[in-house]
Amino acid sequence: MKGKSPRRLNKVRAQLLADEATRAEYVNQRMISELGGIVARVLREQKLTQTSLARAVQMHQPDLNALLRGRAAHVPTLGTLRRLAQGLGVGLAIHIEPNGAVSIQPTEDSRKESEVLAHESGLDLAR
Amino acid sequence: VPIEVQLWAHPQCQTELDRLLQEPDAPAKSWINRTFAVLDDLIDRWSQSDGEMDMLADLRPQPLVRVNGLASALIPWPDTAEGRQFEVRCTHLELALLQVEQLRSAIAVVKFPAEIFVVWLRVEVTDAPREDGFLDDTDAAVARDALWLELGAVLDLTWLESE
Repeated sequence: MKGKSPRRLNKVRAQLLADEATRAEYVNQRMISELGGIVARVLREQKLTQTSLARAVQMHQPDLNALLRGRAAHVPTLGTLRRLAQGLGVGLAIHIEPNGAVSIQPTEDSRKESEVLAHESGLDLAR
Repeated sequence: VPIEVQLWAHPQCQTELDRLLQEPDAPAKSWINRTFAVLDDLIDRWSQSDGEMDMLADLRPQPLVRVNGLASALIPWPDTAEGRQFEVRCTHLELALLQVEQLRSAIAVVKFPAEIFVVWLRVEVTDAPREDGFLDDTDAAVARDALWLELGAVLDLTWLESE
């Protein structure tokens, strides 16, 4: 032993999140991180490229890259989320708690149905 | 078997976090807050998994540098009962540098059979980085070397076993 005590960070986190503006920033970053992780995983699983997805969901590729890296400046709009879900072929469930906490999770794979919708709406899902 | 994932800070790291948070109107507060969000997201994701994951693949922002450690090769020190127990039980170790705006963190992920410790080892404020998270090419080289030096702090983590 080196005489050092390990520290849990709950107290520091609680102090930060007591401030409403800081809490909102925390929630936004979590949502961006969660969404970036979901999009990155589905891209890998479906062997889609960032370029093809950006084209399909009408996003600038640098903006999509920023989202994938968790560095998006803003939480995506509902319209962007809808296009991402459609382009990736996954449902996205957004859960908002009464205390303002937000989580976003992929739902069961609805790729086939989504491809039909994308085709009907003219989205390009070419890989 | 559910995996328990815990976030800890190295004592020196927490001291630096406390110092940064006490600075008036410090932008570091926002960077620390967002780093918390990134790590908490990672921990939630791992907690819901079966523990069989590419540990840092889901880290957002993606780590600047990552090192996969062979735990068994790292832990013959200290030569104490705690150190030997750590060597036996630790199954996986990863180190990464994580940059959120101008806050650079060294993160260790120490995996045991039924629990994972995510440890905030070090934190420092940098100048505004490039798109890749580094200040310049020299910074990138120095940062990679610095990560290896963090191994010393990881080896000190035998205190995790005492909790």
